[in-house]
Amino acid sequence: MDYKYIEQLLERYWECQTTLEEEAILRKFFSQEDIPASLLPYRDIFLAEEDMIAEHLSEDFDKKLMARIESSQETESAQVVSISWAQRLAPFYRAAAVVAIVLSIGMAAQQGFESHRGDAQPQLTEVSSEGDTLQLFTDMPEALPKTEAVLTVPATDSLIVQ
Amino acid sequence: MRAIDFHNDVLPLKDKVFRLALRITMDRVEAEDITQETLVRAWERRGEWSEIENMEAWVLTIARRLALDQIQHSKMQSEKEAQIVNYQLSVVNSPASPDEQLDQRQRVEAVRRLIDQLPEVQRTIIELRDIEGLRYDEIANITELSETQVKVYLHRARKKIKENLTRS
Repeated sequence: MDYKYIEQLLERYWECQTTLEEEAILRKFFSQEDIPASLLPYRDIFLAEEDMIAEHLSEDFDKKLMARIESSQETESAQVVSISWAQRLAPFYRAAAVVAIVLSIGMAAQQGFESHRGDAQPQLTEVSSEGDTLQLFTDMPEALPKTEAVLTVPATDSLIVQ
Repeated sequence: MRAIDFHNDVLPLKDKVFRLALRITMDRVEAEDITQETLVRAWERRGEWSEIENMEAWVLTIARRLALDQIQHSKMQSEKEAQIVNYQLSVVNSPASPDEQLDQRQRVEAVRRLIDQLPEVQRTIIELRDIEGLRYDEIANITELSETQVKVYLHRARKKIKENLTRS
């Protein structure tokens, strides 16, 4: 048998000029039993590489890998749920914020009013029922706008404004 | 274009990833950890799958970077290399009388150790070309070298193996 083709391929193999297909031909050639003595030394590299192709992971690798991927998926899902809950509660937060603002404004307004009223107590005036027109708050404090409360009352008994 | 599926397109690459990691780290336990980490990272980056032209090269690139990080951070690495080299010298270069000829099995083992003794980049390229059968452009992509550089490293590796085969 003429091994010239194999020898040529081998020469090109050492020079990294062979294609993947030509390297497959060499691999197949050296996997057979009948190798001429001149080429025998080179068989070991192809046999060694065949051995290396057969190296595999341990059998429980897939199980361990999928367990890790599933746990990472669960972590991702948990994050999605927590975001969803936050979104669901958002309207309540907004409503609570509105209530808080309204209460704050109300309290502030009331406090302001109370403080003004505390400065000076308007005097209650007993008015007689004689006239048609009565003037209340005769001693109106300066801080409050001076207003004249004008009431028209029927000519009945005496009236006490509280 | 068909949608990429983890079980059909990524998981079957596990043994190639393992062998590349094994060739770089020369440690089965570390190589298995790197394989798991590589596939988990590939899964976590599944949003990028539709843009990837060559899934095999992409996954092997992740694996190589992780394996290189591993050996850089392994304090034991230099000691391990020294052990391998010493063992290699004692086996391959020991004078063998005709009566003590290594049988074929031992010779094959000696070649494997010789490959392990090569510099990392040469081991990686031997693995990707001669074991996994990748094209030069794919190897260049994974190793982040030019195709010319890949061939230069491969030539050096094959030449060294050839010299050892013809000498022993």
